[in-house]
Amino acid sequence: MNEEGLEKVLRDLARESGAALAELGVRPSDGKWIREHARTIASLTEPKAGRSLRGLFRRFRGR
Amino acid sequence: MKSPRVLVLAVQSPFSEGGAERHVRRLTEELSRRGAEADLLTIPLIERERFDLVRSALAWRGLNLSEIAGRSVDAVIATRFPSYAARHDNKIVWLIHQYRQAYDQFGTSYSDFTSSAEDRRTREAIAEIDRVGLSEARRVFANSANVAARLRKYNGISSEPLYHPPPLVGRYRTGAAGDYALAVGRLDAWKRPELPVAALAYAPAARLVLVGRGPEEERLMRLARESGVADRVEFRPRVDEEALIDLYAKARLVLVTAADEDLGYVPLEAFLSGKAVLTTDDAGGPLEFVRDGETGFVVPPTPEAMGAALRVAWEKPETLALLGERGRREAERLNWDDVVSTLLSAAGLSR
Repeated sequence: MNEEGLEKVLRDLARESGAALAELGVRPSDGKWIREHARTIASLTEPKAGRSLRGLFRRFRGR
Repeated sequence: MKSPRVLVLAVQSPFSEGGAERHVRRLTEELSRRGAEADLLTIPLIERERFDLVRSALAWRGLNLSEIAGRSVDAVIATRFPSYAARHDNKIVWLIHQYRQAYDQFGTSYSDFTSSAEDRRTREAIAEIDRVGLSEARRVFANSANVAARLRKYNGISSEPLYHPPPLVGRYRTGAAGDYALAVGRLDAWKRPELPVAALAYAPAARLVLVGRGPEEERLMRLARESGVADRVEFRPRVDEEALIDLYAKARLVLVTAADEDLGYVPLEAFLSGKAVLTTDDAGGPLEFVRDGETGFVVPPTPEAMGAALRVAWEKPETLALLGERGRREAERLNWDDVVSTLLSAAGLSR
């Protein structure tokens, strides 16, 4: 999968799991939990974890 | 009619095999035995940090269980937190118990939740996971009226008690009353195993057999020595199934001392062995079967009160036999046919 494809998969995963987390009672103010979750997703992209993590985190916080 | 495909959803605790694990496996077997194509789906709940509770719920929520290998799944039966977070159009819940540390055990020594901000948020999230997961189920059953009452009290969700027989049903047997009271269960603080030991001081003729092991064992042995009853207490840390059945069959009566049990198999096992049960008025689930003067004795949770009941038990064995027989008739009504039929019918899959 190229970088663009990977980004899309991650975006979808972040969107879907972010929505599920919100449904299960996690709020934007639960920063620690959201960072934890973003880290888990970002770990799928190692070694580009750092960059993806920042992007995903922004996406969650922006919900 | 085609066999209904049913998934039992359960939470796994790696490296430990408890009653809940055996229960869900048995449920899956009983569904299969009655013509369903049933399988057990488990996800571990490993708690290293609070977020793991939410993370586990998220793992369940993310599953699409409507279809597996090109064939539809007709129903799922979720059993424990947070398995009922799973989505399915035909979700039935048969709740073993909630995540009790967040509810009735909060503020007691049985819960490690504190008043910290993260713990408060975790308890709120657990309540939300329960609300979402349970309220979208087609029907919610509880293991006992006690579990149903907690669900109503803490979450405002209605459920129906659905009782099932204890694990060794069909193998328990009755036998002549022996000279010991039997207590069975892990020697954990919340099971209050010190009560029957301390009660012996108030019932000089009574003997006690304690089956089980756990962190309280040393303390109990010391208590028995210090109370001068050590020669009347027998510790049996490990017994196999056949030995346990035999101990039930030959007991004089059976003691149940845990506080606020979900259901409690021990009273049912005692009854199927024709034995009366002595329990406490805060026992929870056991009180749905043990009624004072009908199928056993219900007393306050003090050594004095238990000792007084033990004295009666040793003086009036004929009364015990009567109570035990009544209990046996009641417990014999519980069977897996009814359980499976109720669950499948609730899922619209009656055969």
